[in-house]
Amino acid sequence: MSASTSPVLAVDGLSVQAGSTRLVDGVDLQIRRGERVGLIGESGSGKTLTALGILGLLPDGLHATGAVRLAGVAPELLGASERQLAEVRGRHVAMVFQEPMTALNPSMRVGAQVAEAMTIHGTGNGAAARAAIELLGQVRLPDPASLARAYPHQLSGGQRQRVVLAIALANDPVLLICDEPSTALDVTVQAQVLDLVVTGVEARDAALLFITHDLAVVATVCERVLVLYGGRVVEAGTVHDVLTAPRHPYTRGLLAASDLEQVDDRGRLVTIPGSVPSAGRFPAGCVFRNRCPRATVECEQVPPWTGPDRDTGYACFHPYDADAAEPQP
Amino acid sequence: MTPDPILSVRDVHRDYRRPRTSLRRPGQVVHALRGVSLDVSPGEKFGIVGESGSGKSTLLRLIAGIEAPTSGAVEVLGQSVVGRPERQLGFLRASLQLVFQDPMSSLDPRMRVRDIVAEPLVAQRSGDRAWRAERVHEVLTAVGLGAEAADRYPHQFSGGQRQRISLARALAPGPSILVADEPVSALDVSLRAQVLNVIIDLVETFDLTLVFVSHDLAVVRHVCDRVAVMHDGCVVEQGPTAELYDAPKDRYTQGLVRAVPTLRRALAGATAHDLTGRS
Repeated sequence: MSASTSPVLAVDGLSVQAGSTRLVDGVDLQIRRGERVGLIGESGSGKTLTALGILGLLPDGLHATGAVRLAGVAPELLGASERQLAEVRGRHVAMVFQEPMTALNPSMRVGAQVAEAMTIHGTGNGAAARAAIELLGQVRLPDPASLARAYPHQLSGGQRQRVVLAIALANDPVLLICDEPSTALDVTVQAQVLDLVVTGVEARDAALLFITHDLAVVATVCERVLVLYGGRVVEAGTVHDVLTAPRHPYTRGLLAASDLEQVDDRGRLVTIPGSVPSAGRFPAGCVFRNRCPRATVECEQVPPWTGPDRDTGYACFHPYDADAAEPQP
Repeated sequence: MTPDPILSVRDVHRDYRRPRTSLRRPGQVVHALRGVSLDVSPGEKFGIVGESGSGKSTLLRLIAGIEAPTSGAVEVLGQSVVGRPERQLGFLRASLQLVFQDPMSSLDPRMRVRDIVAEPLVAQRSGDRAWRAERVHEVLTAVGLGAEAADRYPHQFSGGQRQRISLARALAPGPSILVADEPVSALDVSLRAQVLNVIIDLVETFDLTLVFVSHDLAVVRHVCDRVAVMHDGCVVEQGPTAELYDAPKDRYTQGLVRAVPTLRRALAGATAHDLTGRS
């Protein structure tokens, strides 16, 4: 592994605020070349806002603070001008969204949309059109030359998501961000799309930031993982460590709840009590303490990060032991 | 010998005609169901698994009497559902109730929860006002919502709680069959576990027969005793859940089971490529 090389993406203390409400709170994140990092959490945990914050795509009314650096490109993405960001997006960083139909232009042939991603960043028209067909072939679309002339509505959901992926990979980005790319797809199609994401990233030695709520998907695709809850990273580490020996009670609860083969003596699934609060309603101090079985008075303070570095560790006063009997997935 | 089925589908076909695209030719015919047969015994938890376009929603619509099959027979509680006017389907409305995937679009945002839950009772002219209020209270408690929920509106609840409201509404007329169409697909992991527990509780408490439709094989495996796999309008394989998952016989089922990412396999080193089954 290239652990010594400087990271492709370095996010320091990224926060996203709407007025006085903090939606994302001090996220630190580093991804090196060729590394695949997952960002997991339930809806409302701030996964998507983190990604949009990195790309400078936050909707009006939200603003980000902190620092986002992309190796070899802009010294600082946060606060860069729209013009500078437009240079970076689609060229050095690309994103795949959950819903391919809204990501594609319904009135433009898909081949032209793939080519456009390249011409915008300076490739000539002819070369871009030829490269587009090659890219559509790379994402294993059948008969790419004629499929390039199709419109998005003529394709199935899985085919559309492949087109979106082809657009994202068109300029060989150093960083690919995928936000729930396979959630809307059937399982067999999901398997193919996940395979294409991994293959595409590996072929380019690019870094991958993969956002999902599905623990099995993240374990299949990624090497490292960050667990987000209430806009904060509550635990991070290698997929193996975090998902076999979780230290934070939230990670442990999430694992237990998603394991459909583990039941209590009444044959019921293990659950986390309550539900994720809406934005701005998270408790002060530890964001998880109102649902946590281990919470004490101490948890009214924000728990400090415990661990060798920001890539590995947890934020909790009462963590589970690493070698304690863990919930076997 | 197995008891008489509570729900029986016999060689059902359903064709749809696509809208015409030419003045000279009628629209193309789509065969949504091609000879589906299945039996569900009383008290059974029966799963239907399939990907989009497999015909599982069409099958549900036929079972619920919302649509008629092109050919074939559908019987619920020994009575035919096919070819009857809505007036004669009272027995079906009282004995079979549905829960849908998206609770937000199946709950009227302008109605209070008490009225939503009482609506099937009102529609079936069951009991008087006081009895209905009593019944609403009863079913809301059964799904784990407090009595104070009755005065609120759907938007004041989280996704998981909304799905509980849908369940309460389905239970209100005292059905013997609960049909759940992807009831947890729109929910987050921790809510999914809560709602699945509620469904299983209800099936036991009220002695229901469950027909559970999902694309998620892991969920169906947890919930159901027996499962039918649908593909392209046909049932390609059916049998006891554990057996079907551990040793699928049909090629399509094999691919489907392999494509589901599981934590256990992933931690043992399975990659995205392994899920595709391509070498």
